[in-house]
Amino acid sequence: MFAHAAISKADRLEAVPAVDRQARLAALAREHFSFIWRSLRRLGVPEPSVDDATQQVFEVAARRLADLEVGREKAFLFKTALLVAMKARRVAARARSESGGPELESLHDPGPSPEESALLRENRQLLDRALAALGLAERTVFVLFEIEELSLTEIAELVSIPRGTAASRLRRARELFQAEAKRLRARESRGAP
Amino acid sequence: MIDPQRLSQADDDFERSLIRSAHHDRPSHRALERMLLGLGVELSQLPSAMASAGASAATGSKIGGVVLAKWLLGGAALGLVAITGAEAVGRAPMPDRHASEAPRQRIERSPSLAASLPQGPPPPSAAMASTEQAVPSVPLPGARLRFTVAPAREAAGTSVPGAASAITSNPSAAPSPTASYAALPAEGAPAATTALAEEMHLLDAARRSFARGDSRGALSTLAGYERAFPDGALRPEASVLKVRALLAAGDRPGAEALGQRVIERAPRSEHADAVRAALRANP
Repeated sequence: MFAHAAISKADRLEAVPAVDRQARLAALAREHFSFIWRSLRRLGVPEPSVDDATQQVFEVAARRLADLEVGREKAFLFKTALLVAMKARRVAARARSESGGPELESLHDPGPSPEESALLRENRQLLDRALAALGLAERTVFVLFEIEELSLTEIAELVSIPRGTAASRLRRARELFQAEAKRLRARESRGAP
Repeated sequence: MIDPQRLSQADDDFERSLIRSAHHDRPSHRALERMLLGLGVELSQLPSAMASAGASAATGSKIGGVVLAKWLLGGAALGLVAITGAEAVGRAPMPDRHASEAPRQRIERSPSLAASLPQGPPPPSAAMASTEQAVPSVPLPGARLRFTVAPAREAAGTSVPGAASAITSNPSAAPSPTASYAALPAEGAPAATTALAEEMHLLDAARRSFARGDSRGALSTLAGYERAFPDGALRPEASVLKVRALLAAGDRPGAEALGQRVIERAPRSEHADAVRAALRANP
């Protein structure tokens, strides 16, 4: 079975001319790289691992290029990103439990000035803490709606769920997020670490 | 149907500032460059893509749209050189909207943090338009930087036009952009992502068998998966599917035994929840 699958895959790969492969990969990367990178980050992949995880997603797409349905590339990439994120979260959780320490902090300075960098880092750390209160299903819909600003219809299509399910997950996610945000705000106002 | 108002537009300053902080989070253009190299896409043939990565995302999207549109037309003679100077004719579906919107936004303080941080208006440089260029590419400690055999080369042998100068199967011979990779695998080392693609392929096959009612076929494929990937990245997903397939095949004791192991391994995981649901649905 395994050998059969490997042969089939090789056949499919050969079906796509090399130059077209490069062009399509370049197009996929240009169009979706930032989206996948941000999605992985907000789905809980530790920042030092996000570049690596993003590369994994696109390498999977490269391996499966012949299977990629035209117009469904973003959905494929996002579903792959979900799997990669789940794996990365498991690895990070295991590392945290073994070391007893917190997740690695970001070394990626995204801002143009120290003050703004500090603000962004602080806000994003709070955001990550609030998002951590959500299960992956709710978190996925929340991230896509609130951060990526996709419509519920687009999310339903991307995640292959009914729109009503996307709406109910968003409601639940908002309840959890807002409760956690409230708790974090209270902690911040008390000056707690 | 109308979507609810987003929290980024709501009245709550704290929630709004948290959400909007994510809009500024983006990869460095170096990350895209590294990834394209890893995919075997020759950078020298993508000058507009690499020079403007992130800085002019709207333009980039158009270029990407052109490439995709050309690919859709199936032009056999499509060359990457054609990307340069291409005019905008369309966009791919569901484009990356933050790529063009985020640069116009400004950083907000979460209200509770404002008191503890230096006061005063942000300088003009607060606008994030040039953020991406300003981000240095620093190899991150702890990050596992991989550099696998380029799939394009792997798929098409060594005759990929233009790819040969960008990456070789021997990472140590790769050109300067790869010099920052401190931990390159030895030549011939197994590529993690190749394995992941293979895992996904096998699980997809098992899912398809299960979906058409062929639970025995699904179990057979899953057995092949387990042999091929005893420590696979998608083992939990495979186990959940196997529990369902065992139940469908009438092997409830087997399903319960496997399900119990999944639950014990990570009782609060979504996989454990899925196993519990499957066992409940098949009493």
